[in-house]
Amino acid sequence: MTKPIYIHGSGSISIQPTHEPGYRFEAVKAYAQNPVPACDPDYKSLIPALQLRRMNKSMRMAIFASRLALQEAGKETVDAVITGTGLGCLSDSERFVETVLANEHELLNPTPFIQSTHNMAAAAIALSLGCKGYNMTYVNNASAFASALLDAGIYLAEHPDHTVLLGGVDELGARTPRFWELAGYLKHDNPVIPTPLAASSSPGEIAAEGASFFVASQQPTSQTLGKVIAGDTCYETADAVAFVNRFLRRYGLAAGDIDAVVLGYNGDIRYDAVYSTVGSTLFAALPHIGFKHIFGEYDTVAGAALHLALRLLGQQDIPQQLLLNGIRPRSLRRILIYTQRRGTNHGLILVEKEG
Amino acid sequence: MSELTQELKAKIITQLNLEDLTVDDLDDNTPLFGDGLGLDSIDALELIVMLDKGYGIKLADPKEGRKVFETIQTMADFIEANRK
Repeated sequence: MTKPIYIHGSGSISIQPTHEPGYRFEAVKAYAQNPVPACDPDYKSLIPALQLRRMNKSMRMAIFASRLALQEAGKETVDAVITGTGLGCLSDSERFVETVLANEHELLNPTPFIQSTHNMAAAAIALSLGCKGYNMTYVNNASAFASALLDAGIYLAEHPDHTVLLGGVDELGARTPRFWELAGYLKHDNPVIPTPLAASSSPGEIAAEGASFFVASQQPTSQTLGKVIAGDTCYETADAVAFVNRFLRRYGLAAGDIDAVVLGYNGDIRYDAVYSTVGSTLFAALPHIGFKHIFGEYDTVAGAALHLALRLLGQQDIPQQLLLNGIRPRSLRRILIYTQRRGTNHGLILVEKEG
Repeated sequence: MSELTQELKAKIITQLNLEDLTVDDLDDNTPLFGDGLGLDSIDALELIVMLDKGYGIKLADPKEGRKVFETIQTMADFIEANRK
């Protein structure tokens, strides 16, 4: 990222009531199930009923979250829409494939077919805003959101006077979680939210869904929530500490230049050691903030982490439920987000308070 | 015929996800497209699939659809005249 991008509005739908105005992550919604569907806001309050009736959950969540971000930024429209999604519109993909099988390749309903593509959420947002500009969807699993963020940085470097709507969305679908179950991805032993992390001794993750969207540009305003100053992705690494170290060196930073680190612990004993190694080796003296133990796991949950980081920069406090190591920050100006999924798709986002 | 129009209304509400409507809200003679119910071209495709799946009627000529899908009543009349 050559120049910082300033975030002026942030909207999120998740398994926590993040869509509610003024939500501060102090009261965390508890669940004892796996997978966990997102909290549904009153979609009709922001999406016309005639448009809403044909939208699957991805599209509803994406459009609603993007409307929240636009409202907060005081914007009516944008110049470009850039999204990330790991698995796209799963429910319509499932319906389409099921109809193909049930009807022996005949009499296929058009709606699930049209809406089974990964870029449907970005397209629906652009249609609802009348935005005919750059429209891109990144679909590289758990790096999809970070890739969209990096592309937003490139786009804004080339179009410094433009505004971008950037986000990530993933839905659960009805049947796909059963495949995750067969693949051994899901947690069985005590599948609860908030997921206990310190005492975690079982494999598997708590699958969830959500959408987080941001209005970004290269110009700060009086309403700017924060700025993303750097980001990076890496599909695989044998040494996550070296990956994070290289990132810090590239931006001329030491661990002490950061006030808190957001780590993607999700309670899966097979992969959480990556975070404890990075946390204890590089950031032992810093507050460690968790997010997947309250949001669950999905490919674009890094978007929810960015939403959380921006809110924490605003409120200058870390709620007890999110603080993993008991270290309180001296101040909250610079937060590093580090996440990976099942040992791959490592991503870093560095966000800083503006002004 | 009244039974068929009621059945069609229920099917249209389900197939097209008209979540806010009930069978009682739909009049037999309300235009389905334009200023009436406000359906669009994707809905027209859904209705063609519904005719084929539900009543065994293939609508070969798209121009025919404009008349057939004018109202619930015109759909019911067409189904009565053509169903197998």
